[in-house]
Amino acid sequence: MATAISNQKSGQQQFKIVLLGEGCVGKTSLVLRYVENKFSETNQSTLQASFLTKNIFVQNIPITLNIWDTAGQERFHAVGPLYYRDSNGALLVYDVTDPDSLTKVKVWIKELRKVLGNDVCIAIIGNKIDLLSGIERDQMNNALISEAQSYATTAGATHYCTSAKTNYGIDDVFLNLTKQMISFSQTQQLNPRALNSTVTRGISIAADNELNDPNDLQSKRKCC
Amino acid sequence: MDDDFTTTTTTTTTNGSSIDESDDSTNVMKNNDNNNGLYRKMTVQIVADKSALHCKNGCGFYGNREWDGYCSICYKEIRHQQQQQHQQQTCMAQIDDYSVSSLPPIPSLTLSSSSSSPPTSSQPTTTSSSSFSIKFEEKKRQQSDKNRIKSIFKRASTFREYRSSSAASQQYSNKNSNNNNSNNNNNVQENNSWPFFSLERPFEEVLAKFYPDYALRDINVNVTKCVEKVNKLLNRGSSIEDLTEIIHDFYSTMENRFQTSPHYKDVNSVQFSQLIDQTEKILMNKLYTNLFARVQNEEEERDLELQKKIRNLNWIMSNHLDIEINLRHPKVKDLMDQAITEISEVDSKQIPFEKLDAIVRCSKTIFEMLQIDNNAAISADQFLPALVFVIINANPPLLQSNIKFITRFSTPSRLMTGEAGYYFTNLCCATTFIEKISGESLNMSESDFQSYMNGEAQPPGYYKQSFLCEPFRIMNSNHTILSDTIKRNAQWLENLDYLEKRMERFEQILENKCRTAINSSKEMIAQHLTYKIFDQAGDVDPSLFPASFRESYRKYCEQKKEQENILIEIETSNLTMNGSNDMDHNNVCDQLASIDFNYNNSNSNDSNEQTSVMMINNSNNELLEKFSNSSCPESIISLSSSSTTTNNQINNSSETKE
Repeated sequence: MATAISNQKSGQQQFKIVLLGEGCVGKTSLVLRYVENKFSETNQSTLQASFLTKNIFVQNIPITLNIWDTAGQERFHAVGPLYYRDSNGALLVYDVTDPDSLTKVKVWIKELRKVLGNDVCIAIIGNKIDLLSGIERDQMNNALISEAQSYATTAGATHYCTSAKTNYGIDDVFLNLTKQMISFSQTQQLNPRALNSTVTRGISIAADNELNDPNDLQSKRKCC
Repeated sequence: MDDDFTTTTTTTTTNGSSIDESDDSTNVMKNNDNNNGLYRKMTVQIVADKSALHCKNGCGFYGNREWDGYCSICYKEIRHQQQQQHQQQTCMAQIDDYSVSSLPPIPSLTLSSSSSSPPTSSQPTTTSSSSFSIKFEEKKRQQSDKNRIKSIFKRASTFREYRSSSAASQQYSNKNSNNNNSNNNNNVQENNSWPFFSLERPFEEVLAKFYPDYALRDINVNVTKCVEKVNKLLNRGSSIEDLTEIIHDFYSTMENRFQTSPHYKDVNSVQFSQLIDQTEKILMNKLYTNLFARVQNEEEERDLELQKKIRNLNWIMSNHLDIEINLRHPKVKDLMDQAITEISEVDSKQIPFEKLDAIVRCSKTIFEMLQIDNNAAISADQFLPALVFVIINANPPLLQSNIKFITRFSTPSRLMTGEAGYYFTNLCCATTFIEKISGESLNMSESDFQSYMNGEAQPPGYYKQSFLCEPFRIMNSNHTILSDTIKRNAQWLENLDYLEKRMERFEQILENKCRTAINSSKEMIAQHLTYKIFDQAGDVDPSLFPASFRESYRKYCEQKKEQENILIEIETSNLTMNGSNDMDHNNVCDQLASIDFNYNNSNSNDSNEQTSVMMINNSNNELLEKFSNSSCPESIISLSSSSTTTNNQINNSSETKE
């Protein structure tokens, strides 16, 4: 279902990454830091930070990342599935100084798994580590982070610590996630039938499209 | 008027169109209008045969060749009759055209029903009595039901014709593609066949540049096949899902074709996406009315429900959604209106990607609106509520139908990736949010929410918003403009004061400098000036004089040999300080006047020589007496050389002081 859109003409592979997280955890500054290397304090010119694209080369493959920001307010929680359907990757951002934001992340991961199954590569990101102090800062660890790390392993996700302000660890997040998505889409291309069978149909129209391949041939035969 | 009749006139054909040839009605009318102007250019011919001057109708009045030989009254009547006949003929011809070309009447019918309903329901400020609107909706629905039934019947009867016509056009285009002048033939074909073809023309032209034969034929053939299939299914009344599948199949086969077929191997990625766009365009041009009517029928309930809900939500203010949209700001209000227009435009576009374009444009406008008074980048946290707010204000027509149409019949890849996909998803989210809106999602108690929805109560601060009617808005914007002007005016005045002060200060400084410079220069003059008095003509060496003076000096000597003293002119002009600084000059002059500068034009009989006497009281009081006593003021004070040096010194000293 969540296959990467590949355009054979240009050889470009596109991945959709959805950005989830409570308001004020720094989703926007995180992605702006990655795409434009800007932090909001200095940022004046960017009109919007909700939909951004980044072209990168990973393993000699040109990749286009479409990064979709989502509204993190509680009132828009119900419309979440519309955002993250068909996405190849998901970044779940929490604030390392705010335990509530991690609980929200857990809720989202459950939903993601429910809707997208195992087709999505998930990265959990503890942002704002520059706000930690003392030993916590030195070790880049506190109770919340270790909780998130253990949760990530059980949920089949990877965990990162970042700081959008100091530009720490952000490139790694996107690079590793992209690598994961590439390897995932390659295995998916090898045996598409097996994966399709595991995916529930009907939530998105893309599912219809995905199953079109065999019908495609039939319809060709019919019309010719 | 009489002049018109007695003389028959022809133009000198300066612009190439003579009145004799002007059978065309417009031409004649134009000439009538320009009568006065034309008469100037006309040559008058005297016509011998008097009978030719009379009106052809024989009414007894004089005729005019401008009016085909009729008099003005008869000409008008005949003209009128001719026009009526012409209209009737064209009407008949049109009817014939329709019956021959078998234009399928379904699209026009359904189109009118779909396009006539939106404007009435799209009013953003429909706070009118709900009973009327409900009645209206019922009526509308009944009408569209009728149309639906009609269209089903008509579809059955006209489908065969429709098919045959499309097949014929396909054959025709096949033939054309072998032809080199395919464009010309297409023109003919378009005029004869149904109007959809005219919409394809731009693309055919574009395509003809790149792929004169193959692509055009190929896409046409495939589209026609798909159209046939879809129409068959529509006829059978199959579900939208089946139709979607067929169309998505079509898109993917075409995409595959463009990618793999050897005929398209030269296509680069830009042309590739162009081809996909244009395939979608052609297909949707042919199918839009039928497909959209089907979607609209299915979504009608939800459309009306959403519309009603949005109407009931008209009390919502931006602070309910936790965003800052200051509608009193004229720029914000303008952009808000623009966004509302753009979101309403979605319904008027036919091709899915054009609809998506309208959505993207609307989103961009919203971003621009949010950007005002906000330097940080706009994230989805602000954008989505703003979009909800815009939709509630706009109440766009047939929103649900349009969303469904786009999801079903757009190229799938477009919706999954790219900017358009993102904004479309946001639109879906906003719509879903509005559908499911509740007190909880607006941070208010359910009872409050219900009372607001029923119109029983109004949220606090609502009356403020209601002041935002047009006159108040204009007043507001005028007010801001005025206050801005006042502010700027104050600033101007401030600047003016400042400049004035600066000027005063500069004046003072300059005056001080000049004074000091003059004081010091006075001393220098006293030091440097040496006066030579030539009492006798023998003392003068004429070779030292400038060449121009020598001659006059010689004459002067001859004329006044008896005179003892000769005064040679002092070049007073050397004393003016180069004219650049009036202040300096004046001061110096004052100073010089204070040392008693006397001009004596006693030698008025000799205009060449302006002799003057300079008497300096301070330094040479004795000289003054001596000169005045001697009654011969002509004594030479050779000052010219020394005065120039002092002049320079004065300048130098004033410069160093500055």
